[in-house]
Amino acid sequence: MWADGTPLTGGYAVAAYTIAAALLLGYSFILFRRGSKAP
Amino acid sequence: MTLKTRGRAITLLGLVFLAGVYVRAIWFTPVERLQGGAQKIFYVHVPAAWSTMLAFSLVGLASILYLLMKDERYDRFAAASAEVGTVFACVMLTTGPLWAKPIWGTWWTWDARLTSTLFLFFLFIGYLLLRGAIPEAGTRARYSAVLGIFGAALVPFIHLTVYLFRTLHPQPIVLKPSAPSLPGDMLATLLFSFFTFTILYVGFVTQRYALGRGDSHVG
Repeated sequence: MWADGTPLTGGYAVAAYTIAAALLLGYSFILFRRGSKAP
Repeated sequence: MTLKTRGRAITLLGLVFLAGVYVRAIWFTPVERLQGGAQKIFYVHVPAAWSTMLAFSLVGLASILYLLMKDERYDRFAAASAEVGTVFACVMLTTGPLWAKPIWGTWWTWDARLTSTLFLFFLFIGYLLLRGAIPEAGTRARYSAVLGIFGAALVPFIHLTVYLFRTLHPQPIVLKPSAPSLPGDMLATLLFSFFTFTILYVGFVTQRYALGRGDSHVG
């Protein structure tokens, strides 16, 4: 807990932001690749 | 500019905005006093839920239009929106438990909101599998449209679950009849994130729709 009483829960936010970015960037990459292969 | 190029440009714009959302949420939005840093998951989880519900609602609308008009463009749009909605549902269903654990003390609870949302996700996984399992285009479009309409019918029910049942999940703080109950800084970040996730939805669906058009020409 921080000195002002705020709980230390930022690690969960870091995990959530990382997973969300990975999913959205990953799907973007898949679409780009599929689009490049398409005629 | 082709549809594929337009979709790529919109997606890239959405990804740049997403980086902006992250910067604003992490460094320029106040930390909530009771929840601490975990509350910042809100700026990803809620817009992901919004994009999911938007995507699946539009699957239902496009499916109705397909059954009425038998225009294959509606079926192609429904397929694109279902796939994109499933990706946003993955974001929603992974960020939710990460927020729930430090605040509720559990990763998951089988209450009405969470269970019905998980059911919706499985229904659209089934929708995508159904599309892949039927080779004949007309039959595939007709069966998928019926399933898509039933899936979309769940969306308003899921929105109302927090009013109809006792649930740990909080009630809406923006999408409700009265004014949003959120401080200005947090509301601005949330609205920016809503906008960004909508742009990403449009970019993804445009690209996926263009791919679907290529598929149908090949087939």
